[in-house]
Amino acid sequence: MFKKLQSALLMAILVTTTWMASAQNHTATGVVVDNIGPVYGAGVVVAGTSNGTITGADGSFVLNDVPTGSTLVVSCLGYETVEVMFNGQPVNVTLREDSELLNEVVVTALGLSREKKSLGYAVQDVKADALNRGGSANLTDALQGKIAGLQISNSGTGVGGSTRVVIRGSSSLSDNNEPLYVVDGVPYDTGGHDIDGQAGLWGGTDRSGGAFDLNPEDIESISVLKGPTAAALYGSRAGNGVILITTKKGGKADEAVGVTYTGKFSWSPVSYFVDMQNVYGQGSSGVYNAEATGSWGAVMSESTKIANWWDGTSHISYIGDANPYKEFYRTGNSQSHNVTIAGGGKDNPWRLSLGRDDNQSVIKPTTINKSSVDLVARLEASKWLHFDIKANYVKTVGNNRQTRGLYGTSFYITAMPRSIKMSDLEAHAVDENAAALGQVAHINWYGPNADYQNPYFIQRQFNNQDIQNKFFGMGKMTVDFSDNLHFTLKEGYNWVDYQTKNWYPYKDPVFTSAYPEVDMRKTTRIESNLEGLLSYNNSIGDFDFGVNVGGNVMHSKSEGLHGDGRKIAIVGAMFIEAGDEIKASNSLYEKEIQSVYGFANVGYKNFLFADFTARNDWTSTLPASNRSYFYPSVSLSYLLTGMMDEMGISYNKDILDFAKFRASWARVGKDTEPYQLATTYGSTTDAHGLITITQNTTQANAHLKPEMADSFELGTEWHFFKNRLGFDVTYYNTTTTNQVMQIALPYSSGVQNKWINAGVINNRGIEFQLNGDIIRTRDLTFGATLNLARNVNKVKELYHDAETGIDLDQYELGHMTGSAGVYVRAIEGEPIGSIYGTGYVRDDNGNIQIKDGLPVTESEVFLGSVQPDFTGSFGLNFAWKQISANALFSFKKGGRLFSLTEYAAAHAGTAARTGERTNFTFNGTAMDAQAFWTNAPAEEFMYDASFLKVGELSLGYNFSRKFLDNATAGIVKSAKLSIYGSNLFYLISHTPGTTPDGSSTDTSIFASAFDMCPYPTTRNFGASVTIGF
Amino acid sequence: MKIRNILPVFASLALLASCTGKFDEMNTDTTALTAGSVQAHMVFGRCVYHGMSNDHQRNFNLNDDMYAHYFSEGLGWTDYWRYNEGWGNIYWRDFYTERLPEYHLINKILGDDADYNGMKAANDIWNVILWLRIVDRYGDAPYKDSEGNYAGQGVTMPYNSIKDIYPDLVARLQSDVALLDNPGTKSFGNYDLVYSNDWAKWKKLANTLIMRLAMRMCNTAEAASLKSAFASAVSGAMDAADDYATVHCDSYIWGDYYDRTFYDWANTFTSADFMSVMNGTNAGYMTGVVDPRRGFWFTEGEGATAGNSGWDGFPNGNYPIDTRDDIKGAHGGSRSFALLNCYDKDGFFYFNFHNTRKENLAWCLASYSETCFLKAEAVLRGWISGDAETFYKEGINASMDEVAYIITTSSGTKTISTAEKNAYIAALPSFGTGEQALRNVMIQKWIAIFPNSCEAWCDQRRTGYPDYTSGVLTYPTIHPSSLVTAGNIVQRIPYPDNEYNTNSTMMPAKYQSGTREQQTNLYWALGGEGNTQSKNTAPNNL
Repeated sequence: MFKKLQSALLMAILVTTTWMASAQNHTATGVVVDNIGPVYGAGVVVAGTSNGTITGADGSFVLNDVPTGSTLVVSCLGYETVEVMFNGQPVNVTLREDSELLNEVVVTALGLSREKKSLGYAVQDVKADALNRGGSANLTDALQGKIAGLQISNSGTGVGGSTRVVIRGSSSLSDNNEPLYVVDGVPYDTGGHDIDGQAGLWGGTDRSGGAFDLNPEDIESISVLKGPTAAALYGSRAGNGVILITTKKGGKADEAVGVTYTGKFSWSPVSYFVDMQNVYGQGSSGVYNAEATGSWGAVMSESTKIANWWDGTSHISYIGDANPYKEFYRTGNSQSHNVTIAGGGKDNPWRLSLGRDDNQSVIKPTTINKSSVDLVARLEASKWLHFDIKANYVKTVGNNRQTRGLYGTSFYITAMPRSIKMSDLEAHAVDENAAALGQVAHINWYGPNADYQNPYFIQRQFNNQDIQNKFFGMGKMTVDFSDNLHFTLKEGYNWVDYQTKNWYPYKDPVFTSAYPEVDMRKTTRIESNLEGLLSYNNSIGDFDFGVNVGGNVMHSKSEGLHGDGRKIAIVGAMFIEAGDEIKASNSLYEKEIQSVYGFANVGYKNFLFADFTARNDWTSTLPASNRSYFYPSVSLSYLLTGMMDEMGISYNKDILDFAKFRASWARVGKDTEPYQLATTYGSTTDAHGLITITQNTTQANAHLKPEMADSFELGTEWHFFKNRLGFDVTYYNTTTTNQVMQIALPYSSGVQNKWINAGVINNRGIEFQLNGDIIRTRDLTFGATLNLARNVNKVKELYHDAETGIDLDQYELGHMTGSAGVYVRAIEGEPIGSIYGTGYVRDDNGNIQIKDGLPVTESEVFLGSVQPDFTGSFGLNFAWKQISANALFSFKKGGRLFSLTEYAAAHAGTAARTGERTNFTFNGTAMDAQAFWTNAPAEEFMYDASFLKVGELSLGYNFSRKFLDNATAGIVKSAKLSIYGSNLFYLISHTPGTTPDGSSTDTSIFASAFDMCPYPTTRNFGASVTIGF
Repeated sequence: MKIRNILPVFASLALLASCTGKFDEMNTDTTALTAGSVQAHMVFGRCVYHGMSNDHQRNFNLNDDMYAHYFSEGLGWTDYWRYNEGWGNIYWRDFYTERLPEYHLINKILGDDADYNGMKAANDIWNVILWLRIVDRYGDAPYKDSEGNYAGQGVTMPYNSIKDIYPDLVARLQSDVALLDNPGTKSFGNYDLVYSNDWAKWKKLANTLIMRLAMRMCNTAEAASLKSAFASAVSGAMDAADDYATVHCDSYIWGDYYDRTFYDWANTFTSADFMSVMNGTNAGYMTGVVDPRRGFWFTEGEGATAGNSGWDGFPNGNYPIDTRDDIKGAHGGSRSFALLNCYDKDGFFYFNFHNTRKENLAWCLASYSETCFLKAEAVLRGWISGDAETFYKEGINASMDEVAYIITTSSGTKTISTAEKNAYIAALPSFGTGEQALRNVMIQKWIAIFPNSCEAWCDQRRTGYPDYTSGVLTYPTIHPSSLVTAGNIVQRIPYPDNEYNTNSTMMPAKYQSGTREQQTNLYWALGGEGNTQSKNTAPNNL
């Protein structure tokens, strides 16, 4: 059946495009070996056909009906594919192990494949299998720990939440540190400016970055171009680095039409909770009190009966749940199914992939479902003209993503007295009788007011749905004028239709001015990139060179409509028109960048390589006088081993395989967002139904300039002992100047902020990668990898303007006022992200001062920096016959964070640290525990954010071809089973039960100073099966 | 020519076809207005409403209302005289970066055409009201540079002393009065939320404000010249209860009035001091008669806790610091203390926002009763002639009329009868003379102008009344982190962090280098600038 299908599809594609040889057919025989001996299970296929076989235990093969003059393609997992001409004679093939990276080809800027050895800058790759090992549905999560110098943190907002990706440290004060994503040479829309995407400290719904939308099964490999050098050709948006994603193209030479199914199933139990005391219940000063908000009461016991909190008519036990989070949250789960069909051989490969992904979050009503279709094909129209197309469609539907940071469910559970039972809260969350009458329906053990809400009420009150239809496509035409001269024309397209609906059915005493309310938003966003590139390559004597000239027009436009119906009087009428107050608005975002660029590369005798690039951009967002900006780059690669080979200098090739030095310098320019040059006014429906006019509190600036990042980079890469040991070290130094940002002006000037060019920010650091194959035999391999990165970040200068008298030496990234009073700042001379907050007053000897029985505190004490000393990961991989196993450990050293979770729990008397009530001492002085903890400053809750965790574990089993052939009569050609886990254990962590990474509300630098969990962090377990036909 | 040689030509043309010609158009936000389409009335309506409503909770309720002992809070902050930057900085920010630019924008649009005189004067009077709230809360402030340019026009400004700002504000009000003699034909339409373009009333408001400003400077060297401005404003000032300058709230805007703090957030309560005066149980001042205004301003709480009648308030800053658990029954569910009455003048209960009216309580800016008390004080200070006690009693009567003018009791009562007024006046302590009379005037003024806490707190700092020495006001437990030391009285709100971070070199020297200061007198305070007021020393004004 499958054979027939394969043949039919194959014919349909091939007949139109392939020249069919008419030659005599023979039986081909031969042996496939490697440097150790015969290779079993290697595939031998006649190129462009489905005619193939596999080698036996002695490495031999027999293949009938092979035309003389045809090409045999020999491939095997772990080896480089080899093509040999069949001339009627027996074929003997020696396979080289894949891990010999010396001629590795990587995809670089503008979609050009380059030999890695010729590159003068750092590029690091992750292949599909390594990416999918942890079973993560989110691509950016899957990258965690796999690239040196790539810092990835979860927003902690649960499944579908956004992820912060920073390459080589933060260079932007306005939190615009996201790299550019490029898929198959086309910039990929990751959400950006108009998704009402991120949750903040005080609330909001996190709707994820768009990288989430790519189906991991469609990805072949990811290259991270870390520095501006690598990115110089991608232009304005590449200043923070580029994540180049190459998707699967199908149609490998060894297969005709293949069908693959992958299924993944995963479970995510909530696993990390703030440590809590479980002795004292609601009350104050050791006495139960129904009116108390804290857990400072008496010792809890099942036998102590108190009046219930909802109507007082019955009695309940004065005791709560051992772990209230576990009562509220469920185990999240997800399953995904993907079917791929691919074929077309080497010349006309095509691939169609269908995916479906269903996620249920740890919080009850949240589900996220995603369906995707991906089609790629290449058409060889003639010998000199071929076309590539890619069409990718993803529909994502999110239901009831839970909202609100500091007013979120987890937070209320944290600060709730330990004697309140979750089952009671659930049973008495909503007064349905009142709701039916349009009256306040919210019931809670206390309040309800903004500080005390019933999490089950929130769960029922905050309803939302978002639907995103996203089309990403590309069409490319390549003309080969000759072997040396090529032209490509490419149009890439992102089209996103995005709509959200939020509805709040109940009247609520916390936000009387709005609820019941329905709010809807619809945005259409289109980005197109038209690009042409003319390339010429040739050799003269010892020199290889290439010259490329191209241009690009990027146009991005987004239009939105927003409608809001508030104070809905009709019970259950969840549509806008039912609102007593109706608001509508529209939004616009449009910009264009036109570019021309060129680059040249020269190689001398295969050991010295130089690249030169130049690009000029014209942007619509800057004033006419500054809208054109030019930036160049240069890089050098020198192969010591290559030179020695060329010059005939002998060295021990059993010890040294490869040695390379590289250096580069680059500048990258960056424009800004639209509409910042001229002052405009807004209008709004205001009090008493009046339409009023608003002024912008941010001053426009008609003289903005482009931002520039200059960087240089030095690196070296060495491989030893037949490539069993290799390392790569990079030093980089990047200085960003003229950042387009808003600075705070003295309010008395009449404006709050002003758009300016300011700031000099320097990031320098070292990245180190080490690879070792400790054991490498046919049946058994054992290897280790280490990634290590240190980034030193410094704000060298902010803004000093003699003319206006503005003297800015610090910049606020965010603050949380109130009794913790935490500020996160960028201060001249310091790294970005200095944390200030309430702290202890110390005398000259450093002793904390005590007054009226309590420590004296003051505000705005320096409490540490969010910047770590270094980050990294350590991976182990092991394979024995069909079994493979991998482990990935991630670590971070240094950086401080404020445990807002514990702060809240300590003030409420629920934190484990408040468990000592009777003999409480602070620094040796006896104190009243309740008075101490309810006044404790932020300093008391500062933690070292260092950690070492088991990031991923996986175990896989690859069924042998022989077994499958026997068991399935040749129908199933490959099968793999794996089980995996991620975020499993913290071997080192200093935070009080919470996780030191990935647990804040959004992806800003500010939020990285907190451990404030919108949800408790989960462990993830999963299993996957891949079957190839 | 082969087709493959033509293709790149087409491609090049496609790339060249686009150019930067449309960039300026593309970079124009068509969902926003340009300066040419801005109309003055639409800016004025916003300036007036948001001058009151913006973050009312943090701007007024959690600062001036606490300092005036109209309300109290149980969070351990401002009521305990502990500075909270997040509550203290917002009025400054919103005034300078929204209201002040709006004022300048309106002036620019209206230009010099005399037909707009009424609008220009109203805009300026409104601006003076908002300026007072800066100068009286923070002290010296960026106001005007040496070339006569006013703040709020995009450039950094030096700080001016109160002694220069006040006379300038008075002069501006005098020009406004003159402009209102010929107000012109143009109006704000329905955007004048204060007086609906009744220029005569705006003029009375301007004169009452001249009296207020002049009297504020009574302890200073400028009093000598300002008292004549006071005297000449008297005849043109407010003279009837319905001159009351108010802006009605609309529940459309978040955080507009006390309902948020009282009910939604439930961290503000009626003050025990003010309620004891309302209840006639304040041994330091008023005993024996329930104030007839009580039922208009307040409703009875649930009185769940023993010893609380339901008409009692929550003591200002007198509970153990920041132990919220001890605020029994004040939060959320059982509201045992007296509550703010949220019925409007037609008896609609505000919290049912499904009623057809959105209007409810009003923000009260200046009144005839305030004018009467200013006159009584001026007589006692020898600024004008007349009988202080007569003005004093007229002020009390006026206040009782004004209360009924803006609000209905929860039981539907709309007026205070003459008999009730007389009974109250009969129970007043002896008026006396000199300092005693002044004390009586100031305490009755404190009650009468409720809920205008900005004025009440100014009067407390300027005259020492209501006073902490004789028990009308309860001296709070001062928070350990307070900037006020025990025995002293809160005198100002520190400048916002924003000024310290961006403009500290312009600040008065005494506040530079990070000094957050709350207890040193402002220029016009009792005892003079730079001194402190002690709770242990009886006020001595005359």
